[in-house]
Amino acid sequence: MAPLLEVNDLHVEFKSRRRTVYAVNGVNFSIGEGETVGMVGETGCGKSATIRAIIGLLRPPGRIASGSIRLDGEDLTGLDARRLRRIRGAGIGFVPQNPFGALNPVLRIERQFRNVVRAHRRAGRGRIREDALEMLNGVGIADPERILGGYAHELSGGMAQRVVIALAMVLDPPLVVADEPTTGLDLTIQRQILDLIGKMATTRGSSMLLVTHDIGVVAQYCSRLLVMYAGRVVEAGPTNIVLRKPAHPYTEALLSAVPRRGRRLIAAAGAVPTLLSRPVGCYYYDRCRYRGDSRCATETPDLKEVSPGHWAAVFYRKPTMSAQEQAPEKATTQAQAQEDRDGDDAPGTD
Amino acid sequence: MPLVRIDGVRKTFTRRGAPPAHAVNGVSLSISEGETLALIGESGSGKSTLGRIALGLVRPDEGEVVVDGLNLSSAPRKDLQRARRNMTIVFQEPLQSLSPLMSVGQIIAEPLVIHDRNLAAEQRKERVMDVMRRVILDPDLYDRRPRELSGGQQQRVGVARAVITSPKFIVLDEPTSSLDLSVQAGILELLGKLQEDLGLAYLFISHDTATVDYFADRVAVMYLGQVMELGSRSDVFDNPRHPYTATLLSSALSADPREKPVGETLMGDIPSPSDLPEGCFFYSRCPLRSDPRCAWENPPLREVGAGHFAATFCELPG
Repeated sequence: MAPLLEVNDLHVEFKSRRRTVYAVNGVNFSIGEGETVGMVGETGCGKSATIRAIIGLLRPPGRIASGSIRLDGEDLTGLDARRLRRIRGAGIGFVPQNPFGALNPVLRIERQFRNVVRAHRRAGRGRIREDALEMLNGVGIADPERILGGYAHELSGGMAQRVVIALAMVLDPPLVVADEPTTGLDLTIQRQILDLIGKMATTRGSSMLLVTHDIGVVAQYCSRLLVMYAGRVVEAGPTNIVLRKPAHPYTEALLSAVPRRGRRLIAAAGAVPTLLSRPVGCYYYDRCRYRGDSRCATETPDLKEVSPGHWAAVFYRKPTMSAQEQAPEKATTQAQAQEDRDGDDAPGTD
Repeated sequence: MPLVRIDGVRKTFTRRGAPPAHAVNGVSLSISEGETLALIGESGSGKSTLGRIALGLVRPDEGEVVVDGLNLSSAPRKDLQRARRNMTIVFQEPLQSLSPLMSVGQIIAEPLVIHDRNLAAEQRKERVMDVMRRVILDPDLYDRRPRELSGGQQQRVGVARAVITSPKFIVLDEPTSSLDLSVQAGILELLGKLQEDLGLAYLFISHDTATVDYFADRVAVMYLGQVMELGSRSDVFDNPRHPYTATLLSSALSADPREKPVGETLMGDIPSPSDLPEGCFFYSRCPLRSDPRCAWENPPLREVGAGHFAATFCELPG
C-alpha cells in the first residue's frame, strides 16, 4: 500500500538578489495512514520550510527547487493555486504554533467554521453548527455554544489552540500537520492538548505530522520520528529505537543536551552550517565526533537502513576504537570547543 | 543570614477599565549566597512579577525585600541605585533585551557607565574584554550589533552585561526557554560555572521542570501568586506533597519513551488573578479536594519535612 504522504528528494531555496539560502536539501520521508510522525530539529534545520512546502504555503522568495510531495499519489508541487486551496483544509489540516495568528480577530468563531467548511463544500448553517459543536466537544471545550458565539480574543491560549485544532479537523482531512502546536503553552495545558490531538487523530483515523523541538513531545506522542539537520533528514525510525539507540551522531548530541538531574549536560561543539551554499560532504562533518576518513569530507551520506525501519544518513555508525579512546579527552576540551564555536560562528546562523 | 529575603510580599496591578490583577499574594522566600532558588509555575502564576519585586523594579503593596542587608522598600533612592550593581537580571528573549542600536561592547559596558562613572575608557574596555572571555564570547564580536549574533551568543551578551558589575544576586528570567536544546546546554553550563566562580545567588524563573530539576538547589512552586510548595530539589521533585506539584510534574513529558506519563492530566485552566478563589487557590483543578473546607479556607504554607513546606489540606503521603 502506498503511503498517504510521500516526500521525495525535496529541495527548498530562499533566493534573493543578494544570496540564496538552501533551506531544504533533499528531504525524503513518508507517512502511512493513521500514523503519527514527529519531526524534530533545531532552529534553521529546515522543519518549517519543509512543512510550508507540504501545505503549499511557501511564500516568495521561498520556492520548491525540485522534488515531489505526493498526497495519496497526487503530486502537490505542480498544482495551481486553485487546486492547492482544495487540498488545504480538506486534504491536509494545519495547526500552527500561534493560534491567535490563525484565528480571525473580527469574526465570531462560528463564522470561521462556516468559512472553512464552505470553502470546500455546500453546507447549511445548521449542519455546520452541529459539526462545529461536535468538534469543539471533541477537543474538550465544555461550553461550545458560548465559544461559537464569541471572538478569538476572549479565549486563553489553550482554548484558542483547541479551537484551531477543531477548525483544522472539521473537514476530516486524512493528514494533519501540526507545527509546534504546544510551544508557548503551559505544561499542564500542553499535555491536555496533545492528548486531545492524539485522541482526535485516532478516532478519525487521521495521520499526523507533528513538528516540534521538544524531545519529550515526540517521545510520548509519536510512533515514528524524523530528525532534521541542515535541511536534511539525518535519522528516521521508530521513536523508542531512535531515542534510545540513536545511530546518527547529531541525534546523539541532541539527546545529550536534554537536561537531566545528575547528568552532565554536553553542549554541542560547533554551529549549524549557514546554508548559504550547499555543504560539501557530510553536512554534519564539522561537528561530528566520529567523522572518519576523507569520505565524510567529500561525500554526502544518504539515509541507509541500519536496522529494520531505522534509517540514518551516516557512513560510520559506531565510533571506532580510537574514537572511543578519544572521547574522554574530547569532553575535557569542551570549553575549548565552545570557544572555537563562538569564534568561528558566522553571524546570523539563526 | 540569607543574602536575599522576601517577606510577606503582595502586589496587585490596577488599571483603569480593568479589574485589579492580584499577581503576588503573600510570598516569603530567601536565597543564600551561592544558591539557586528556582521559581516554577504556569503562566500567570506571578513568577516574573516576583522576580522583579526581588530586584526592587516593582514595589510590592505589602511586605518587604532585603538584599544584602538593604531593605529595598524603605531605602532612599540613592542607596537603591547604588545597590543595583549588586543585583541584576538576565531576560528570556536575548534579542529583545539588547538594544539594536548599540554594539556588543557598548551593551556590556553600559552598567559600568552607570555604576563606575569614573572609569577611564580604556579600563572600561578592558573590563568588557575580560567579561567577554569569561562568558566565552569571541572578542572580535565587540563591535558587532546584537542581530548579527546567533541566539546563544546574544544570550551570552545578556549574561556578560549582568555580571560585569560583579553582582551578588542575579534573577534569571527563563534565560534559556527561547533557545535550542544544544544552545541551552551551553548557557546552563556557563551559568553554573559563573555561580561557582563568583558565589552568585540565582533566582531562576522557569516553567520547564526538567531544566529546574537539572539546575536548581531549592525549588518554589508557584500558583496564582502563592507558593504552593517549597523545598530542596529532591524534596519537591522526588517527594512532592502538594497535589498541584504532583500534577505539574506528571504533565512534564519525559524524553525517554519508556517513561510514560503517569496520573491524570490536569484539566481546566489556571483561574484569573482578577478573580481569586476564596478557599484553596488550587481548588478548581484539584483532584483531591474535599469540601467544604478546601472551598472556603486557604491553607497556609506549613512544614511537612525539614525545610520542606506545602500549602495544602490534601497533603500527599511522604
